[in-house]
Amino acid sequence: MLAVLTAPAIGRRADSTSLSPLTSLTELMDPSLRLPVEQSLAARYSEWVAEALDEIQGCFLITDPDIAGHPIVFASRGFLAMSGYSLEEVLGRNGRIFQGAATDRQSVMEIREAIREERTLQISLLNYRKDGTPHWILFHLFPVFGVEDGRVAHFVAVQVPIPRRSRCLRSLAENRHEGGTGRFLVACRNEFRSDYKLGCNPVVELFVDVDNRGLEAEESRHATEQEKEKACDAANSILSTLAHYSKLTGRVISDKRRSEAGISAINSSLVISLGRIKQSFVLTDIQLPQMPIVYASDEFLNLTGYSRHEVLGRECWFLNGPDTDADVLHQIRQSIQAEHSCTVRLLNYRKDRSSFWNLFHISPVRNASGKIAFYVSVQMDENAKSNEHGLSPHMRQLGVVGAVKVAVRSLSMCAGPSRR
Amino acid sequence: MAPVGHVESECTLQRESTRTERCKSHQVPNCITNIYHLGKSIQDDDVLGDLPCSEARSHSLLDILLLSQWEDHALKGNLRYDVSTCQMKIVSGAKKFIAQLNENWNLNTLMDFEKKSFQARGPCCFSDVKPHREDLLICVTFGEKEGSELVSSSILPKDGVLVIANANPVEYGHIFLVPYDVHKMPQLLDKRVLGLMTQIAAEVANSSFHIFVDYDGSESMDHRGFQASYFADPLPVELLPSIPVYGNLLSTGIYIGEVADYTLKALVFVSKNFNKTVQVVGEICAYLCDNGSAFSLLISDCGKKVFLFPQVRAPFRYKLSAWECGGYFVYDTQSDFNHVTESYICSLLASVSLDAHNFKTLKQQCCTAVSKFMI
Repeated sequence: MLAVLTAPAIGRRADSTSLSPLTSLTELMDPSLRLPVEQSLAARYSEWVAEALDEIQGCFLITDPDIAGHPIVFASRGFLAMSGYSLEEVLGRNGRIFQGAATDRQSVMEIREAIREERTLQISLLNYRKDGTPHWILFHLFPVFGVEDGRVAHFVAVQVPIPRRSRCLRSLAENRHEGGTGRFLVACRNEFRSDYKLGCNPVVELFVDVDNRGLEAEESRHATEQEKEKACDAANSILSTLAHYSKLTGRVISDKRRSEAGISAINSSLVISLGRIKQSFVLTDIQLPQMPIVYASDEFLNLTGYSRHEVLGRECWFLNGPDTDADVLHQIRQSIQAEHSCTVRLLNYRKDRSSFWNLFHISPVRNASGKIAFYVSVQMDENAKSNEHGLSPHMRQLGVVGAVKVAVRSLSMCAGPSRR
Repeated sequence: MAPVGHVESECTLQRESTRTERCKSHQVPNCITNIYHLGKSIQDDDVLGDLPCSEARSHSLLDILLLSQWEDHALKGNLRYDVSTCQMKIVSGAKKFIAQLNENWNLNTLMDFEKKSFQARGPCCFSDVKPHREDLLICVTFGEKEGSELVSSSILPKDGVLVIANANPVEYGHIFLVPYDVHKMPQLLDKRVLGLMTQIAAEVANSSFHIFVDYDGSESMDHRGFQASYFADPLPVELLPSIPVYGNLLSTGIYIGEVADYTLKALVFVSKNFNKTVQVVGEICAYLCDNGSAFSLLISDCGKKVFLFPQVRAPFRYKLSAWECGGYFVYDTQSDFNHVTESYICSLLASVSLDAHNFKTLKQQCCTAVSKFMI
């Protein structure tokens, strides 16, 4: 429930031990902003959205860039528990209050840039709790656009704690269950993949921070795929809640700016065009960091044994497994980084865990704006290859790429005339 | 079928016979490529059927072949630029003209290619192929069998169509289709070549694939070749309704219409049996050539539709290429791209259009031509 704000408690302010070292009197919320901050969510998503947001697991903040100082207008219960602040201490404040001496300035700059450019960003960040203790988080920021005016309505910042990877934490995981969504994965042999979800549970936090000496000396800490996925899952839940409730007021929002020429949505005419390509391939959306699959052909499903709903939205590396050559994967990642295509042979796994040698070709695909909208990857089972009708398997793969490139270049993909 | 109109002087005849001699001595081609043999079955009447082109059907072999060869050619770095990086937009207005910003493209490169390939009035010999050897993708020829067949890595046949990549593409898959024949001079706009082009369009069976040719009516450029490209969306002219001029598909099997509400007066020929279309369009083209008129042709809808854009031929006047006639314009500067308007394009199209009187004469000529084939 959104708490009714009371006047700042003078008494609390005087108790310096309970405040973060960086909090100063001047940074508490300006009284003239109180009303806009309180109204920010309700005006667009109705009064009921706060309750709905409270039901979402996870640590996140919502900020309003239209109010002076870009203040926080919502903080999840998980966030408050993780950071140690109360709601009154956070509302109306700018997100920089959680940064501290050892927070990497470059990362802060990147966040500022992403806000200025109104785009999504996922970055590891060292933040500080109210009691002054630092902790690493995966910071996932994304804008939410008003469909009608195309302007940013709010920014959402999802935060997933990145724990220190150590043996004692793994044994903790083995001994306890996970509440909430109930996801419990066995740790694998790779020491740095901690395969359990740390919820924003204060008990676990205390355990993690037993050994936080030298935390500030760490230059960076990298999030695992699971943590990134968790951030994206939370982001999606928040987004769909906001989108749903925005319909109540008529001020509908979306995660994509409506008039952006670079929109890479899969619309029905593209699905029809892609449906003519009778070969195994997938399209991945490169605008999200984990590169989810947004289209998979029937032949891909036949080859891998998965059903369509098991594949859509999944990150594109999921066919890889324990014996997949890491050098080859690195080569693929480098090509993606360089915006080049590449052809490799790698060991992939079907749903039934049987493996096959995949003649794999991946290529960037641009839409009518000239910018890369997707990557197309074409799979071919080495054993199944044959020179059909005089066309070599590699040529057939390139034919798929060509057909996809023609289809994606359609102007029907873009919402409207270019803003440029 | 009268040759494309020009008077042959003694000198040119002599030049031609020397070239023919040269060609005969080079009859065995030293060029190896993939050869696509068109099957005989598609040459029959009414095979195109009622299904709209390329809906829910998988890509044809020739389609995959062209796309893959193009993509391979591009990956090897043989194109001057990646045309898919060029931004496109719909020009605001009812006609929805399409504009592309392509800073690497200019008209001159197209004309240079044609000057290189098409030595005036000579048969297209294999020696002419040399400058384009590296851009040669495949060769298409009439096959002997019922079905179509792809034969990889063979020597060029005696006649066919060379498919050459355009290193300065206007769109994805932009190719030159160069008909050749060792033994004789190909008449680029005769019915045999038109039929071959329409057959290729039907064989590709992809509604994005368009074949076009421009004829500028002057003697020096009468060997301008066919080109083809993949356009992801229909060209604006294809979306316009038409006013009937002759016939309808049910009774006569061929329909001729005048494109409605378009400032460039144009005709569209529609038939499910492309042999019929070819006969009629061939006649009209001959008529236009004899009169020294300029025009552009656009073969679309997998060979079922042919657009004819007759143009006023005047020296130094800007001539439009077939895709421009269709409503697709390429600009090489950001400011031109930003400032283009529908009214500007409409006046540009109007400036090359036939006037009402001459267009009426043309329409009458069409009716005459088609009635010759209606038995």
